[in-house]
Amino acid sequence: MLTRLSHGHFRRHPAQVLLALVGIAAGIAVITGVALLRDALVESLDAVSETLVGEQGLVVRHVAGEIPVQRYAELARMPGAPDLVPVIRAPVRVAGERLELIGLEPWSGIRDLADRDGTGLATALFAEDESLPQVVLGRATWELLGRPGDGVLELRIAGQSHRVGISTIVDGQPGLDRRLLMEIGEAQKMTAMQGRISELLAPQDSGDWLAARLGEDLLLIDAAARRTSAGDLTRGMRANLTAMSLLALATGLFVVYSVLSFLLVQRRARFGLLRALGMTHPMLARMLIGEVVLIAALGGLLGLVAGTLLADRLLLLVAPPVAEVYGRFAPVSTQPSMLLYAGIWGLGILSALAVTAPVLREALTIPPGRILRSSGARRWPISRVLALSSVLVVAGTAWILLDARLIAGLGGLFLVLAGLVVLVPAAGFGLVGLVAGLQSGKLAGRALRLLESARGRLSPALAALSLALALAIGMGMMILGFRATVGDWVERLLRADLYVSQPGRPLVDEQVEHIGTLPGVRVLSSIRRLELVDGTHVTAYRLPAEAWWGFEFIGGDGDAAWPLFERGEAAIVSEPYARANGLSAGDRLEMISPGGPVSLPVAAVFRDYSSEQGFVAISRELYRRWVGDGMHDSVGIYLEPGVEPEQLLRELPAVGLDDPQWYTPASIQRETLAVFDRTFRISWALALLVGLIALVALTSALLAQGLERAREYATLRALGLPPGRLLRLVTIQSTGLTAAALAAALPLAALIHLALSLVVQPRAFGWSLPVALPPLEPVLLVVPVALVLGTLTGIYPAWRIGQRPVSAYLRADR
Amino acid sequence: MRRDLFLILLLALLALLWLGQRTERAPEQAGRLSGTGLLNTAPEDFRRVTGPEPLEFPADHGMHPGYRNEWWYFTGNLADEQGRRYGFQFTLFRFALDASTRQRMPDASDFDTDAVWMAHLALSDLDGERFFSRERFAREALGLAGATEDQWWLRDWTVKRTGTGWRLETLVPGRGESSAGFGLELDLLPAKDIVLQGEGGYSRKGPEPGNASRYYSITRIQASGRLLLDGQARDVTGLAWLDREWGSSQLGEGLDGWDWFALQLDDGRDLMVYRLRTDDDRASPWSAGILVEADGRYQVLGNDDFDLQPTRRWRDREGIAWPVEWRVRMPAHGLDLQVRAAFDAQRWNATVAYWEGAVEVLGPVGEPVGRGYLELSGYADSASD
Repeated sequence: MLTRLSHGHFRRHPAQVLLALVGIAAGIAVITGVALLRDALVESLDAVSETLVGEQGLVVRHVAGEIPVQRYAELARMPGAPDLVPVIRAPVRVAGERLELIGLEPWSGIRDLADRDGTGLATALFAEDESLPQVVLGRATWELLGRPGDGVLELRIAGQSHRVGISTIVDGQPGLDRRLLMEIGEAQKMTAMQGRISELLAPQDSGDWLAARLGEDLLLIDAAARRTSAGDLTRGMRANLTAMSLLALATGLFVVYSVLSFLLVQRRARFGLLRALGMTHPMLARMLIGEVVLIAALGGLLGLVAGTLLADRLLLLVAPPVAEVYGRFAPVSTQPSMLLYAGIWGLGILSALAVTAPVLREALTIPPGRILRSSGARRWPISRVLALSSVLVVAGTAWILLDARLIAGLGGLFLVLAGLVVLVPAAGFGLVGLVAGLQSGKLAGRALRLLESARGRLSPALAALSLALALAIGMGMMILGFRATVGDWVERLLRADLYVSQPGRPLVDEQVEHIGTLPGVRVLSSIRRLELVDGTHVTAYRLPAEAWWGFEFIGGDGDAAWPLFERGEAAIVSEPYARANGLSAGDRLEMISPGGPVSLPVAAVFRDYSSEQGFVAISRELYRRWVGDGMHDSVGIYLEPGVEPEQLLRELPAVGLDDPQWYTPASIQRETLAVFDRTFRISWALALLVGLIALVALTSALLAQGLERAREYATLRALGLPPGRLLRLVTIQSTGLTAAALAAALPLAALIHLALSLVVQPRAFGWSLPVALPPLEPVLLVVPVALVLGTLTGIYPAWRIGQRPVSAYLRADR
Repeated sequence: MRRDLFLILLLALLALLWLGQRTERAPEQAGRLSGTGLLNTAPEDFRRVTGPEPLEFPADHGMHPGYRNEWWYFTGNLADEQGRRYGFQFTLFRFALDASTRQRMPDASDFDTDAVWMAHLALSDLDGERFFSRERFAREALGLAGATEDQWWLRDWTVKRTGTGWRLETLVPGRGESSAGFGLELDLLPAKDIVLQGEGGYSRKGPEPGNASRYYSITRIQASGRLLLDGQARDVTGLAWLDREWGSSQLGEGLDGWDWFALQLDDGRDLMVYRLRTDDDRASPWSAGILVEADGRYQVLGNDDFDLQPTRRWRDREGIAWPVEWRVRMPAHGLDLQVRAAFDAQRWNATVAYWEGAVEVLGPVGEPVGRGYLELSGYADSASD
């Protein structure tokens, strides 16, 4: 009987059921999407070694980056040696996609990886009667490359083109995503890595044997360390994602609350009747809980599906920047588990029950026989709202200030936002009341005042709407503000007129000096990057004095630091490095240089957005003392006044560079911003997603309020209000509500922008952003769209009232 | 209402099915080489064994590039001081790659190789009925595998020539609780001279002139040294057998596999017979053998000189039936032997699936008259066809 009652109601109001389902599904979808994405960016990032030698497999790397191949041969022949898999890894481009070439020994422990005619990986890669080198790839990668029909791929490696044949497509190995497996000999030729390999893979149980024999030049990296490293790399990105997903869920739950409470309020009269007919509290509670669970369960399932699809899309967005910025390769699709699904689904149902608990409690207080509609929910006195708000804001701020971790930044921001959001209804309706007062006597004034009577019902919707709008706008502001900052930073940093490098190999001293003697060249700069044994990234700069001021110093005295730096007596460090290592100007920096442990004073800290790990900058002079190999990764050329870069380019061939690449500061800036845009595509996608949830919140709230008030509107019609005036009245209400939400959202957006820029970014990525006025583009985009939508959602209920006889709405049972 | 309920359930079911399908993982794939397949095809540019040629030692102990395959094959029966018995097998296989595989890209690489090597090490604990085996591969590059007249090796598994014999060192290291190691350190001293199979070492296995291998053996070798098992080293002594063979496409058409017997009799005679098995499970006319007298004189046997009949089959977990007991008859030499597996489960389950294990040799009334090794090949391939 109870089921029939519920069913009968839902049957008459399919739109509301749909809204509730969409609200739940949207919240669950975002949670699912982000959880799966997190998994892809930590557990499965660079999972190729797990795929090859098992989840607990070991990796051996050389402190200087590459392992001399003879070291491998010696190790492999030692008594008791485990089955080592030599591997060569190199980035390649295929059909515009950034992939990784994995050259490996198919005649090792991994030979069962691919199966063709029952003969394993070796047969696939050593395929006889094939003129091209063969590759094995996963099905997902094959599809990513557009299912090349002729079985031939064109690889670009360090500026060179190579053709390879597809030998085998492997199913169900996500660790192979975005990778091409090749026989190691062919891979060594293609990557010109003769004499060297990238790493060794070893079985899990060989740790002790290896540890005793690797010596000082080889490092043993276990699975836990690999995951920590992948986790560290993408920490900032993931933290942002998690925060966004929680906020999106909060917004989604607001929608659920708003819709479910509306479903309830509509039936207030009926519940009174049922109670009078003898329905007990437990029966009513059972019915209502059943409804919520059913809607949440079904909406949850749909949300899981949508979230999985969403995660796969987001992964496609996030994989290129992960490869570009971190040099790591993400899987092509996410790998959900039933356990994860069940957890999120259960969480969704519990959350729905939790948010509807107050509504349920209210329903159970309806006395028997109550037929007339209540005028609205009880309202908290403003003093209590203010007190709650203050507590939340103070607690959040205190957490941010007292705890320097990222989690505190995000959690504190969450609390502060929650504190401000509870103020939104009061502020919004205050504003509505103000406008109504100004317009008193007119239709607009009357329409807005009518809203006041539904304040209790509309308050959560208004708060949800404001929060969602604020998030969308605030994130947009942060991204645009950050982008402008990076653009300025690059422009300031690049002082030379032209930059020259050789793909895949460094320039040597003689070539650099030769460039210096070309006509029109005034002075040169150069950089050389190296990674120390202890993992420290170091960049050695040869700088003319004028280039020194390309650094923006945010710690220490640039003037005083220059001579020390120049002479190799001090280093300067990037802001993320300083932050990660707790350094500031004047501290001493301990590193293991190629020549042994060194201790250098930190002369200054400079602004940098090029890497989250940060790096140490030293002078060319110090590099010469440390390494002395005369190598330069790229050279900056400063021209005589009046000399055009084109003139110099005509002279460059004389230097004898191999396929030289040259860049102007403008092209580097363009490329940097392009990388930036790709990196932040996922943030845009999330901002858009939150925007969409805001849309659902807006639509559901306004439609609900419009439909709820159908009887009032019908009364107005019966009293002689013409349909045209009614339409205006309803649209003024919905537009007014939207405008109120927007008015509350804008300051919140500015706050989110500031918090993300000043608190979350430094804690997640290690860099700070200079304080500036928030960019206005997101406001200009979101405000008109929201207002138009607000107006449109008012038109539908008004149109519906026009479609049916007034008497139908006047029956008390509606 | 029923219809709505049905729709909701349908929707939920569809969503569940989709989610279930998304969480499914593709099964692991693993492959296996066909033993006979490796031996009956070879591209044209490989050398073929087409007639007798004189062999020279020790030079011919080393590898013979230009042929498709070659192996160094030790088997033997050992006993420790407590009388516990063991069987062992150590084999190095060399498979040459064809030219198109080797030279796709012109530059040189440290990994360029002409051949791939496979090593099989197995130890049978006859009293405990336990079979330990380990397979290894390496390419013939960077000194990872090879064979000269003085040394045969794959990584740290080595056989070194010691003047009159060899020293074999093969250890599978134990790593923690999960895998106790096993291995052998044996001094191998030939008790008989080298015997040349077939026509002076030219062993025909099919009608075409190229269906042949170069084949020599040392049928009785005194073995002594240490055996490592269960974390313990035991002093062992016993008899071993060496088979050396190389060629290209030696197996003729229509062959399914072979049954190979290496028997060391207590009266000092050694008998090797193999039955090349045809598609219809009969002995090919190219089946052959050798009987070596106690003084080292030997006589090559043809298909008509012996008769091999399986008398019991053992079915493994995959359902493949391996004939592990045989009746071996050579009326002309007064031999009527029962050959039976020391225990059944001595099956290799690696890249190539075959049965290779220690056997007991019994006389007509069941009295023990010798020991040996039995190799059964091609049964897994035909079972999967």
